[in-house]
Amino acid sequence: MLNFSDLLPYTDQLLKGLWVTVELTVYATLGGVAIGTAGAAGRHYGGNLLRGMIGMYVELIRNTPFIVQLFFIFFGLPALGIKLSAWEAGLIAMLINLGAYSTEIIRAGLAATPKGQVEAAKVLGLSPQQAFFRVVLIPAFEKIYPALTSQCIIVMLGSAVVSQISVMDLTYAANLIQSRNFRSFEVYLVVAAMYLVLAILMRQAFDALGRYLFRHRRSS
Amino acid sequence: MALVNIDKVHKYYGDLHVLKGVDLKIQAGEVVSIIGRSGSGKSTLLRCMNGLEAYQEGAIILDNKEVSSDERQVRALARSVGMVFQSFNLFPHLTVGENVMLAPKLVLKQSAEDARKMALDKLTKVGLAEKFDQYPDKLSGGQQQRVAIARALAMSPKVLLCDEITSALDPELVGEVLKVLEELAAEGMTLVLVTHEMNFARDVGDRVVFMHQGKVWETGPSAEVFANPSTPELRSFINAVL
Amino acid sequence: MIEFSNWDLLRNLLLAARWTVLLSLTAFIGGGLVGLLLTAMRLTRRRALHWFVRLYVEVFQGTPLLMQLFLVFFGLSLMGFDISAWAAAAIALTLFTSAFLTEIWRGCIDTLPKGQWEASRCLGLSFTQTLKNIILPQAIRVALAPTVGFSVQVIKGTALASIIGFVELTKAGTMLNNATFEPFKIFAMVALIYFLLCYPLSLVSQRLEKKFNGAR
Repeated sequence: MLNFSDLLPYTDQLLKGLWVTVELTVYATLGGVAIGTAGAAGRHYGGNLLRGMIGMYVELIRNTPFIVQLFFIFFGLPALGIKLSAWEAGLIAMLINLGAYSTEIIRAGLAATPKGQVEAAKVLGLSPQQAFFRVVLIPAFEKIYPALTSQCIIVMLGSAVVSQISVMDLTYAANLIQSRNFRSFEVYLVVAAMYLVLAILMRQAFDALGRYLFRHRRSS
Repeated sequence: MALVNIDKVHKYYGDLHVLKGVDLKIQAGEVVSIIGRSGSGKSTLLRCMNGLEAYQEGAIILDNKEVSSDERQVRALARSVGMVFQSFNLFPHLTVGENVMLAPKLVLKQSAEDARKMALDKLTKVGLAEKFDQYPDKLSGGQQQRVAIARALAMSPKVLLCDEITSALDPELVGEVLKVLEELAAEGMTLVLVTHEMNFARDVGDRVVFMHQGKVWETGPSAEVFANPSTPELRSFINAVL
Repeated sequence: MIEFSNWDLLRNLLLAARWTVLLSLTAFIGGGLVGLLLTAMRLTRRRALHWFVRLYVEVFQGTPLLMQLFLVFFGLSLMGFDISAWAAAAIALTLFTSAFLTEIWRGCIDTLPKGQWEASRCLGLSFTQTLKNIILPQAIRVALAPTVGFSVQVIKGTALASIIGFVELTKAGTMLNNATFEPFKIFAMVALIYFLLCYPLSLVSQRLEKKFNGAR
């Protein structure tokens, strides 16, 4: 029979693990979207060489599993003399991963910007940088915001894998607890539910931010 | 020296020869309507005048500066030349006021206070001061176009280029936009309009430029040109549109 | 320590990659079938079924694939089934795939204009006739590109089966790494093999999308 009471003594571990997952997700989301914005700008405005390099980065990451990227960074890079803690390796893997996906997503948003908007900024005398940040960026984000939200949540859920290099995240806590109390199914059920709640909260946070960023769309 | 000097300008899109040696002078304070069939090169000429399109031969001198499509040049020109587009091109994520204040703040480095004063002034001129805090999506097409005019005026340009600015509007909204142009003309603003509004060209414009096959085919004072077209091409064009 | 030549490493990885391919195919086909069933449930007029599908999709899209693997693996053994890592991975990936495909296909059906349903009804077509003759032929065209695109996610998802001990490409990589201590080389090779499996599918998906968008 299912028995959840054996989990209670481990509440602390679970909360600590949850915090690590939340922390990684926040950093990865902020950094990953920043990388994606830079990557998309480079792909949209850059020269052939830059565009080709960014394209290779995006395809390489999107066509290999996150866990292999993680292992390559954590186990492979020290061979080149780059020593990383598990936490650092996990975060870097998440950043690189989300960076690639959001590059592709945001690029689509930039491509969908009406040409007239850019021309209007140009004839008003705005520099390309000013036009990008003041005129192009927010409407571009608006177009791809749902896709970007989903991708950030996918990266949060995917972060469960960092437990495999001993980052003490939520999944690591689950593994630890089930090895002590032998209630593996119950533990994973509870932790899965915690991830689900996290995913729902994250979507709501994104929606709230979207309502602020795109307030011009609010019907009044 | 005229405010705008266009001298033997040629423009190619690949193999397509769009402008075939255009000559045109526009004096400060003039209201010039450029008319002609679609494909005659009139919009292209307008877009060459502020560097949105590059031309390959000849020269355009505007306010004593040579126009080129070089990025810096286009930006420098923004202080002399304003432009209003057929499709408004307001920035959807900025309020009406923010749309108007954006360039004065970023390009002219005006203080927030000065920019606001300027924006209110220009919006009052187009009759939309009370829409200052609204977003463009909430406005009618005619109102959006008037905001676009205010946005261009806020840079205090010496000449305002209007590219078929009433063509995207519902017929009942055309009047309010033309009325704003009429007031600007009365104040002595230099206006260059590519337009299909023949009545406006005739009644408000000082001069009409008829473009045909990439050239200035015929030009002269509005009333005269409409009453006595001297080329058969213009005659048939006027018959077709009036 | 055993000496492995590069060729030995590659050969071992490629042999293990067969299991990656097999698991991917199983999950994709199984997930497609379950996904069809779920999509059909969504198209009926039973509210309860709609709710069930929504909940199903929400749960599988809102929890880590790794948790789903663990829950199937430990849950079935708790119920007294002696389950292999292979079976657990196949089941979990099938469920995971079905949820995503259902959601993708829902989007495709929803993009069709309402007028298509209304016009069909005015012509006197029944619900199933409309579905079979009008909606599905159009929806399948739209669905092709994202469905092929998702197969890439399935292949990458199979890498997690390594964590419950199923020896596929990633697991083979970690095992070889433990024997040779050449992580840089080995995980680069592993990544390369995944890339060679996934990239052609990504390209096909992109082509299909362009073709469809161009035709519209």
